[in-house]
Amino acid sequence: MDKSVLFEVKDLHVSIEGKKVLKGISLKIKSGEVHALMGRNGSGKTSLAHSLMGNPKYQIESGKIYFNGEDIAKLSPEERSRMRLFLGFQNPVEIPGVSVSNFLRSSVRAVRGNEIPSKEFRKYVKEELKNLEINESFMTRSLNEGFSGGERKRLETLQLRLLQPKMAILDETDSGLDIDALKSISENIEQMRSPDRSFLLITHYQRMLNYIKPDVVHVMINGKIIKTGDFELAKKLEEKGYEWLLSRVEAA
Amino acid sequence: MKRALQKPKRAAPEYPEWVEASRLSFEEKFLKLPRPSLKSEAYRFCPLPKQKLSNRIAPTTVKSKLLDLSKKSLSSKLLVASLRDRADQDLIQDHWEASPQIADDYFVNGVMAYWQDGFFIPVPKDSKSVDSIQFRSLFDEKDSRFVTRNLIVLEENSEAKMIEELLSIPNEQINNSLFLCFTRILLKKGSKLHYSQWQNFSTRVQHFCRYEFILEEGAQLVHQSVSLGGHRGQTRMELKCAGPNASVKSENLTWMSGNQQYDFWVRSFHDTAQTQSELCFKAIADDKAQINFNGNIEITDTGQKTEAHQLSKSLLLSPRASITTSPKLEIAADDVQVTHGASISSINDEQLYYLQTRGISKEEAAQMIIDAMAEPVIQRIPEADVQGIIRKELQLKRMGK
Repeated sequence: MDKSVLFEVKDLHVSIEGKKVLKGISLKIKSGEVHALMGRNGSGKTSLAHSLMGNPKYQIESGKIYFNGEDIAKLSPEERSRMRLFLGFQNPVEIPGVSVSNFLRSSVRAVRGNEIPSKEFRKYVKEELKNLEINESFMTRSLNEGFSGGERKRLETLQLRLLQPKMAILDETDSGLDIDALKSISENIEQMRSPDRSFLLITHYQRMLNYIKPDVVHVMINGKIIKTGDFELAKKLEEKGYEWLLSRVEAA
Repeated sequence: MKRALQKPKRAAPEYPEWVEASRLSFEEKFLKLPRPSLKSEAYRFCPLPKQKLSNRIAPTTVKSKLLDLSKKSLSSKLLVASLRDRADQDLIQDHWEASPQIADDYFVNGVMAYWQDGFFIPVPKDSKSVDSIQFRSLFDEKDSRFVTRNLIVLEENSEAKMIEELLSIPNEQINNSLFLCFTRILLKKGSKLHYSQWQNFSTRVQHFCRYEFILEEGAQLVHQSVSLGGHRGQTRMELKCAGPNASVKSENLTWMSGNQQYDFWVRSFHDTAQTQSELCFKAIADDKAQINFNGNIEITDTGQKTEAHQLSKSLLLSPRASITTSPKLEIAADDVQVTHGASISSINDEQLYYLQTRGISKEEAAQMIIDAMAEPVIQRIPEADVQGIIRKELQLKRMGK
């Protein structure tokens, strides 16, 4: 395996409740690269994200998932997370009664493997809240309960920044955001780009990619990646729509 | 600060005539009531105790304690008193008997006939207590029976926070004990009460508690209850909004494990226009525990523009545990907003998965979700030290102790 490859998926076939949702996905993401995965609703993008993160609802029928050279297909979600794999949820679940503050502290402790002194943690979180233009009162609220779409995405981005993953899969982080929120969140993600960290951005549209320019763009339809290209491919999709690509694939 | 309420100096208090007359009248009624069985609708989830109720116990032989735990500044005003010491007060006589909605209850009549002692807490007109008034009923001897009759009256425009504790000494020191109580709480015009209660009896105690809250015009009640202990118990709570703009918000949590049984009945009764009630019942059942929730919203034809909501959320932690919920509506008014809902689930897989993706182990994630069910109720109890004690008890319960 190429040592520069941080994350690799090999011929992944996945089903959920007997229905096949991924039909042979393969991709390689090198350290420092940003890949975009585009596709219409129901094409299997979210299924891929959750399969990579280890959601037990998704049954891996065959294929491999390598992260940092290790096959992680049989690891639990928490083990993957502790290896610094991160999934930013499209629709994070509400957990009434669990405060954001308690949740973040438990999560950071679990992923880093050590306790951060309270004072240091508060200072650290405070800075990140400021960066993401999140009010401090957020910390005492119940996790995602009554949050607007934008607030949920800001909280997912806050977690991304606090947990400092090596590989981040962001599932439609741009959906439900107004232009200002999209810009702010995208800039915060862009700041995290580094030679040691890779991203898989899942999106319908090009608009987020204007702020976080991807190195590679994949297009997924019906559980398969049907086309891979560079940023120009995303631009063309924005201009011509998915039908254009579908007709070309069918013609081929 | 803990202090036992002052015992009467005489061996057995000489009650005013009306108290004795009342006792005799209720005793007569109680002895005529058929003893409920498992076939009775109200007792099908909670068998009656084997102990005989129909005998009086002299106050001097009461084997349990009433403790006033309030801070000194409050106690100095003598807000918390023994009911049997103050039975001569007109206020007690004025508010003695239960409302018709609960007057035929078997245990209300039992308590009215055989009460041994109880708390009397009158909050004077226009007064406002900053600190919580905290009081405890404690079983501290074997084979005891404790029958308490409590009366709390908030006079007009008064405000108070109260914490009631129902506790007993540990299992190995107690046996075959029975706790009965009837607590009547009146909120007069414009008064505000934050009333929290928590119960953690030994699993050798059976308990049957009756609560009646009556709210006059503009009165506001915020209420929490946490019920963790007891072998078998039943609580019946009547919330009566009897004046316009009266409002109740009540949150109740129970966590039963082992062979515990808990049966919770509540009725929100609205017979005046423009009143509000919001009730939430949260149940967690582990091992072979059984929990029943029976919630009723009753609005008469004079209760127009009532807003009433009831919700029950239950979490089953074991396949052998059982929870039943029966929400009911009886509505005779046509201009009301009413909702009710019930859910029973095991731990939500989506929530577990989300926490796991953040590095949190499945076990810890499950714990966080269980705590999440309990925590919103605990957080609203006004004293941090009481919150801490309850959290500690929950932790012991989780560990199976």
